[in-house]
Amino acid sequence: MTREAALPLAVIATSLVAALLTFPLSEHQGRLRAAINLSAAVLKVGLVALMVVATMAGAQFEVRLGFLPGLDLVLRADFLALLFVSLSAILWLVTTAYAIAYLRDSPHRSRFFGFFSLCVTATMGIALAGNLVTFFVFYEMLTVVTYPLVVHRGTGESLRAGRVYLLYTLGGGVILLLGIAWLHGLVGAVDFASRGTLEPLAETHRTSLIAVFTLLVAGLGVKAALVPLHGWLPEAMVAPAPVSALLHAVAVVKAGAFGLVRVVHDVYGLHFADSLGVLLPLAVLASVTIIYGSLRALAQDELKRRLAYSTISQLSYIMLGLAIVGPLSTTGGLVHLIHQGIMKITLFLCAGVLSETLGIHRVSEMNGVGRRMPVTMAAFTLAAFGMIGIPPMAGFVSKWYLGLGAAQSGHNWVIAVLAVSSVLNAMYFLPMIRAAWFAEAGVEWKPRVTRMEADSVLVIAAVTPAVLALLAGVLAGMPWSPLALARLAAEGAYPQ
Amino acid sequence: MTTIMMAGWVTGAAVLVPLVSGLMVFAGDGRRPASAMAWGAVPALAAVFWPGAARLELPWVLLGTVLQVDTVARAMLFLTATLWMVAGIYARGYIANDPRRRTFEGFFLLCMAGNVGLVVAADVVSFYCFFALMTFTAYGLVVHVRTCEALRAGRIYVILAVAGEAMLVAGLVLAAREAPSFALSVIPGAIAGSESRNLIIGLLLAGFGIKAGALPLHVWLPLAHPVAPTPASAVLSGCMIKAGLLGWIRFLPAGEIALAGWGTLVIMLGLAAAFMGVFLGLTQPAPKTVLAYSSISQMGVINTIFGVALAVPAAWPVALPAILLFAVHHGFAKGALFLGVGVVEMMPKGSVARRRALGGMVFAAIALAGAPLTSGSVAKRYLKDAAALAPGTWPGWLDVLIPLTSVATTALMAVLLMRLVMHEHDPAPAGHGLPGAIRFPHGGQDGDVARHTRARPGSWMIGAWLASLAAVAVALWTLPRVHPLGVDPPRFPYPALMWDASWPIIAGLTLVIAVTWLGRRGRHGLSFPEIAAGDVLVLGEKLVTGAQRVREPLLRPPLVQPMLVLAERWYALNVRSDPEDHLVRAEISITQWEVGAALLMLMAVLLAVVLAYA
Repeated sequence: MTREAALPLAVIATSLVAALLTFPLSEHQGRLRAAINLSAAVLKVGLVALMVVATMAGAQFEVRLGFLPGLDLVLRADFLALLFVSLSAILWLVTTAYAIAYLRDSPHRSRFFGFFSLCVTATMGIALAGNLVTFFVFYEMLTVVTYPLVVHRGTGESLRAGRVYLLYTLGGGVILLLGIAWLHGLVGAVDFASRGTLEPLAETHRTSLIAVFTLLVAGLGVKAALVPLHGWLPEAMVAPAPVSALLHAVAVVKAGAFGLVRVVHDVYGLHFADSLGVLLPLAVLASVTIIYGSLRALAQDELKRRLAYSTISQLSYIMLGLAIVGPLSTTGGLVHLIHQGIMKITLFLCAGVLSETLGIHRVSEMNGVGRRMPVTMAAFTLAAFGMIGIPPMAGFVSKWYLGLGAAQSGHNWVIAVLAVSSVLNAMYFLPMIRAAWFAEAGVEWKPRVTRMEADSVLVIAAVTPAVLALLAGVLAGMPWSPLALARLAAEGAYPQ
Repeated sequence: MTTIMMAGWVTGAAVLVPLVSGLMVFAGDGRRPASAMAWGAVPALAAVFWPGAARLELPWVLLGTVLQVDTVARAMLFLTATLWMVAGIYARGYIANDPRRRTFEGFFLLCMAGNVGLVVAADVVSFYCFFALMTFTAYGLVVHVRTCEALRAGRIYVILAVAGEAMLVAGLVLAAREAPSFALSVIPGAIAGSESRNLIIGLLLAGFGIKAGALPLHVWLPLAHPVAPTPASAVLSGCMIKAGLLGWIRFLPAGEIALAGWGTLVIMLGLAAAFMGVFLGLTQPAPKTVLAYSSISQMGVINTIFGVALAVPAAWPVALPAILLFAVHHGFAKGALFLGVGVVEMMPKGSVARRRALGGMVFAAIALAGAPLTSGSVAKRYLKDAAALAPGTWPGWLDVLIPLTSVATTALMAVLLMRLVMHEHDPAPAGHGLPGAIRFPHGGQDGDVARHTRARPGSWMIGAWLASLAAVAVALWTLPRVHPLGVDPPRFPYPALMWDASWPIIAGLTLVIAVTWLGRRGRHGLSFPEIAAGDVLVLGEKLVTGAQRVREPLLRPPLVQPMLVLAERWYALNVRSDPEDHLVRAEISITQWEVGAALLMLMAVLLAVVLAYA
């Protein structure tokens, strides 16, 4: 097998093997389990780095496996895939380390880490999928393997949340399948290709294509948490912190957003989708979601729930960038795929540290916590400023490109949406930051047990993505920054 | 290394040194005082006097960062670097025994980095980045004493600052889209040629106007500037207020095209601020609040001239140096006055030292008023040249009104000094803040003064204050000689100028003496109606409280009810959790966010509507 075929398979296999090795382990083999999962995560980061460097140098990774008659499973690494793969690989390493420390003394860890690894397997598959069928297979696999993670605690509340989660995502899956099947009926197997393959059908099947697009958006929109399909996300935050972090930053919601990008860029083609008139409604839907999510976040006292509504809002920046035609807004949307991930994972990991160490679950309990946990709260603050879109954080770069793109394409109203959203973000993030740093603590904090403010692995894991979010903004002009990668990926959507 | 590269890195160091020192303060244990407060601005000062074109290009930072000391930056940096250094030295003494010293040092240094950075920034993104750094770290300075008043001032400051940031980013995006690059030099031209020109200009005028204390966006300023520790007040009112002005200079197409409508608006708002600032200042019992209102007034004078240049492009070559020189003059004088109030208030009443310190205050005050031979008279001469180029009948009006602002300022300064002499100001300022505000036993508005009153100001503070007075004395005579700004350097004044500069002072003093004398005869002393600091804001708060009592559902359109529920919940969650005095909370806090939020919502809706039709 050539290197071009082996590498994408290896990227997926590393976590699959880790999962298969983890399941049979007994509960007390903690070190072995940690070693397996961590080395798999490190190995994967290495492989992905190799793939990025080689692709930049011109290599093309592709592998095709027979699946059903006439249907191949295709894995291919284009720039869009690399964007998602690198995000996932890096954040998975961070989350794995975090999860090992977070769940140190809780039951069912082998089950947890097994499904955790399966989850990354599915995400890698989604990222590297080269056609709609492959995408769908991994997309459904993700739904199934995240369920045990959501209900991991086994309490009534988490089981209920799990039911809601399954109801929404499986329903979305059915609609998605319907759309894909319809499309296959029209054109046969649909490979992802730059600028799409459906344009020749414009004359004959215009209505069908619009209907299929609607189905695909509705199916993918569940995981991407587009209003009104977002109901599962705030419920699912009962899951343990590392799972929430992963759901919100990388795996589930990003799978939906990434799927939408694939559909618009590589199935329909940006300009063809625009000529069908389906992008403006998507932009409006994304704008509504952005504002609605922020408004709901304003009134949440539970920290993770507030962050969940914030995710709903922030995710739609990606869809907004997708729906506004123009190289700058496309870049802005794609780069937010990465930026939102590293900023939101920081916030959730910090929330986990707060709840684990001091039992803080609510915004109203955060008064004065900055003095007790300065490092964690510094990371939280950086990420929150990024979410608001204040430079030099990564979030500013996304918003700047989205705004420029909107102005460029004449959609000035989008700038108003962005400005209002920034103000709303400030309204729910700044009071938390002020309470943490400038308010007096109402209670006596639990004293430090170690020299660090909390478990050192947890703190380091929470700080790492915060530093990445800072660097992604400050060094946005570097040739290997997320922005540069997003520019390359965006170029593919436009005719040369 | 070539000279040009050296010069570039001096510019870089001007930003990096305070930035890194500030971060190190936060990372450190804070056991030793951060000496960087005193010398952190030295590289910035070096950049002012470094020969050659100091330009540093860092294409890999942000979206391509360029730092450059051009003519405008040189004048502004001269003020910024000097005043931050003086205030930093002063702060070494002022803050030495403060339990939160480390926090102050950190925010002070980061804020310095932001302020210096935005002066030397030569591209849109880094300008905005440094502007944001300054804005948000200044919050830490405003709320430093953590009193109820400080937290309230901080909250109102942040609400307006966030609104400003949102307007700025919207305006900047629209402007940058039209420009061939993100370089600041091409932005005004791009705005001038843009279809949505008026929208961009409106957004930028308002967005930067908040920082510049332009009417009617000034409401945060008389609350926030005085409540900060004295050295922070000095830089807030002396140079951070100029950041908004610099934003206007850098971005708006003054000198490119004639904008008669915008120009007239800015002239009128500027003149209104110039007089209203003084009248509202007269009603304030606390010296630092008087100074803050005076800043609004003086910025009004500068803004008037900026309005002239907006309306008449040909006036720009005359107006720009006038604006810069006036900004430098006001910055030094206001800095010296703030630092001086801190010194005077620490001196025992009736002591010789206090009398000497008051002498210094008199010097800074007459400079601010524009007495002959002071920096004020020089600055106002250039102002007069620019005002003469105003459109229509404005020159005639300005010829009368600008000297009248000097009369008003003289009166304001005279009243301020009289209060300091007689220690007349109420230690628990009745008009300041709101009923139930925390009262300090030993005068002054910030808690620190109470602690310092027993301690005499040390050599750090005295030395820094004397240095600031020296800056007032020499700055304007030297600056145009060292750096050609396109104007003749001031010459030793001829008789006409002497008279021009002295009659407003005489008139102002006469006015104050007459009123005082009349007041004595009426046995009421010199009294003014009490208007709470923040004027319109407080009025608005009262209106909202009144409106809230009306619970008639008829008065509320359908969508309003859910919005109000949301608002109340947000308020309860995010705002009420302060460790504040219960009474005060009941009195004031309920209303303040709603004013801010109502403003924001209004602006958001307006913005959306305007953008949709632009």
